[in-house]
Amino acid sequence: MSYSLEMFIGYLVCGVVGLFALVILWLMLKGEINLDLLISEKTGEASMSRFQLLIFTFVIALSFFLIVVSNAGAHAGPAQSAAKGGLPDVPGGVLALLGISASSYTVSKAIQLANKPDSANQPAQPNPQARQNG
Amino acid sequence: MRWLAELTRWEVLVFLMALLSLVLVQLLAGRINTTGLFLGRKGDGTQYFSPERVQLMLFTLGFAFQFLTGVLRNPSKFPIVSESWILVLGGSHLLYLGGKVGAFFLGKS
Repeated sequence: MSYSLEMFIGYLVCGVVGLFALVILWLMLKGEINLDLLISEKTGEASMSRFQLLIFTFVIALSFFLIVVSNAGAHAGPAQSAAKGGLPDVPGGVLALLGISASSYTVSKAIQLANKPDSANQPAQPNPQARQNG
Repeated sequence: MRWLAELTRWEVLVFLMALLSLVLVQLLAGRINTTGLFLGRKGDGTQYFSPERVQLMLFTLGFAFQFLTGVLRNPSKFPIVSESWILVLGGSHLLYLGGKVGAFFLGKS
């Protein structure tokens, strides 16, 4: 593939992904992607297992990004491409922690299902007061 | 290619930061529901203040802070997570889940 076509496709993919990201953020800001129950269960109560999974996800995503950027910068020579760093190795310890976090969430859901009164099946309405604030 | 890499870098950074700020602001403003975050539910349906949830939150936040500072200190690779951290966090999660199961059976009896 010629260099210019490669570049064109690269910019195109970058633009499309960027556009998707903008649309998602815009919809979240407008409230059309509703985050009210992001860490809540169907019953409307907030869930600690969801909350810790959210924190872990952000931490690992941010760390992964920082490491990729740092490696790409380190591998880029004066006339070299900046994308030679590749993806970093994820050590076993990090995988173990992610596993603990995710399996804790899953087990927590299983306990909740076993513990569920019949009325808890009803999906919760988003917080009306929160809507007014927004 | 250099410009493309730079553009991608900024794109991902801006998206991640915007997403993080959006969630954080909505959490702090109360738009994201946090009602009952520290409350557990027994088998009979009654609610109780749950210390196991508080400790899980504290350990999670502590670990997140420690991990991120480790990455910022040396961003060339993931920081080594020591076995003791895995044990501490695993124990914290076990305590949380144990509390949940315990409350379930406590309420039933």
